[in-house]
Amino acid sequence: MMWPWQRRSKDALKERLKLVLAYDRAHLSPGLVEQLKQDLLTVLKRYFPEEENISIQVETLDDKMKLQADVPIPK
Amino acid sequence: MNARAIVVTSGKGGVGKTTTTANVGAALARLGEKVAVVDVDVGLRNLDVVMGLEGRVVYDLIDVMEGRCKLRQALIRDKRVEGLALLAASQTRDKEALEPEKFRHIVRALLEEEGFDRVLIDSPAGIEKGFQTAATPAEGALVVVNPEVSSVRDADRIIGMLEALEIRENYLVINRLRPKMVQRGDMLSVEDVVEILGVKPIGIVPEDENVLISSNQGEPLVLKNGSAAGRAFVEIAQRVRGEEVPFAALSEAPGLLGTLRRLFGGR
Repeated sequence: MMWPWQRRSKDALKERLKLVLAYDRAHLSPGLVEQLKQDLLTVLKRYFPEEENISIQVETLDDKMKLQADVPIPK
Repeated sequence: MNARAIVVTSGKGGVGKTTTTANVGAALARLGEKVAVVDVDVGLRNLDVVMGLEGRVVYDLIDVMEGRCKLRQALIRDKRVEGLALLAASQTRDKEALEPEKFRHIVRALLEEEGFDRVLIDSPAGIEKGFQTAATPAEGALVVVNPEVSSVRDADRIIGMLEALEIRENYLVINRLRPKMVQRGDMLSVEDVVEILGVKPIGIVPEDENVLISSNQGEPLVLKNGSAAGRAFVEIAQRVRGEEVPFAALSEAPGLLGTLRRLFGGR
């Protein structure tokens, strides 16, 4: 019996597959993108040392991949 | 499908390429086409045993390529079905013996000189020379995929490679689907696989123990009566021929039929 709050295993698989296929199609290694994320974070933190809400996410849109950095600029 | 030379491929091994080739080939012949099924898995040939024709292999694909026999001598006519013939792979050589351009000529000769309506090419697993050779003469592809992580990933890779080879009439054969697992959310559904891969299905084959039984006996399922997988393979053959066959019979999962109708634009 499936309860609404239980996560179905195929949903996890679908998410994983979408991400891995995006990397595969872009001929990118996930580890490299992870390093890029960390490097970007380091640089951003150097410029905005006070800001704690900097985040970087990888998103997939159809067959495109998007690396998105959120940097709230303090007024 | 307009394609007369069709490669059956998957990237990953063990997902049902040979079963699909044997059954769709036999079903097409049953529907009146003259069909050659060709095994390109040199060194690991199996289409002969799945079809129960292993006892009649004298010459093979590599013998034809290297000029040791005529194409016609290497063709094994299946006595159970009018119009079906097998060209076996060589078991004693390896894939380095394959020559893609010579294979293109062989397939062309099957279609133009030997009078076959359709050639189904059973590709080896992998993305290397065996696959490349199998795909070289193809105008379309049946990409066999199981609803699980590694098969879907490999199918995506293969679809990219087919497109790079300018093979564009490509369809999914979603094989070994377990409707009960789909229903409880533990297996990707047909819609999920189609959404992820962006290629339309031409058939959905449920997991069915009759597939193993028929391969044990060396008799293609479609030549016997009444199994769910056998019916699914017959329907694939009908769709390959351009017949409009609804996906209705196999939908145990809710909403499947509606989605497929939508996918096929009300077909």
